[in-house]
Amino acid sequence: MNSVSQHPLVRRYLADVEIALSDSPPDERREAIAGLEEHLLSALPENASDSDVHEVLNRLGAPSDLAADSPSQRRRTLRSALEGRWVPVLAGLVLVLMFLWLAAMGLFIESRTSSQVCSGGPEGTSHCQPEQIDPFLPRPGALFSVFVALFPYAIIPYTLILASRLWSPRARVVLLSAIPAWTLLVDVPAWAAWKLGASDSLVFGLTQAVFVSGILIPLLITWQAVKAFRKSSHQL
Amino acid sequence: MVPGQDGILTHLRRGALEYCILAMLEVEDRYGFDIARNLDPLLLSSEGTLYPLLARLRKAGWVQTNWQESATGPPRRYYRLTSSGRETLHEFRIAWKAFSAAVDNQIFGAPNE
Repeated sequence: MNSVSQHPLVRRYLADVEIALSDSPPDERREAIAGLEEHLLSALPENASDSDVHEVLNRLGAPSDLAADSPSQRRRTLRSALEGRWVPVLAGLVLVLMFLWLAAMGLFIESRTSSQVCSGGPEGTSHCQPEQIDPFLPRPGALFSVFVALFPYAIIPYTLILASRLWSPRARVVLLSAIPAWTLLVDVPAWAAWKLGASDSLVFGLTQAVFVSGILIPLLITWQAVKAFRKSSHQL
Repeated sequence: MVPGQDGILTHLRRGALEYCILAMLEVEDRYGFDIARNLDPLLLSSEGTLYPLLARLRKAGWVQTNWQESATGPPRRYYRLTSSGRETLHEFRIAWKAFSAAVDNQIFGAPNE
């Protein structure tokens, strides 16, 4: 359709405005955004350059300041208190620490179970099972249980992520599910192998591959925290 | 802490900007971009703050909107002062005159006789 409203900077700006105005009534918010869109169409030629777009958005002002000149919307609500810089910093830090702790525990479990016990079967075949050394850390489901044990600490970042408007609904789902989903992905193949009695090097390799892919999680958390940090308001 | 001029102006705008928009629309109907570019920059800190305000003015029934074709590009939403907007502006003018005179008096001293 129109290239101005499709411009990535414009789309991100309007999405941020939507979040910044989420305290105002929906009809007013829609109308304000429609007004902004019209403003941008009037201010920018079709195929405007990035620097043109930048300049016009600059004149519009930061999304978080948009309600500044309106009398009724200056109430400092709890929700706007949750838009300070400390929110993404604290949530990101606790999540990354949680992940590091889980990864350390995972490596520990791994090291205690990777020695394999092989028993010679009939007709010269051999059957290998990961040896269960520590009865308190059984391999199947182990990492997820560590996550469950850590959950009281997760309440802080999870509450912040759910309550703060700095994250979009999609970012929330990603942030909340990343760590538990990863622990389950690490655990399930091992659990299935244990359940089915089919302990292959394939299953073991798969588990390790998933475990290693966990390196993406702190990157993901940091990236989302940085994005939220940029949106956060300058005051505490 | 000294708030500085920016902080002081933000407070002052909050009480006055909406009436300045009403006054602007008293002369003629205008569309958003047109209002944004014709308001004194001292009154409008950043242009974007205009749009939440316009939405509120319409909800208060002080302005109404209608679409008009434009020579270049898509149709535009024009804002027009309603009769209750006109009355509100009238009341504000009276109040403001007294208020600003009182403030001037207080902070700069009584005008010399």
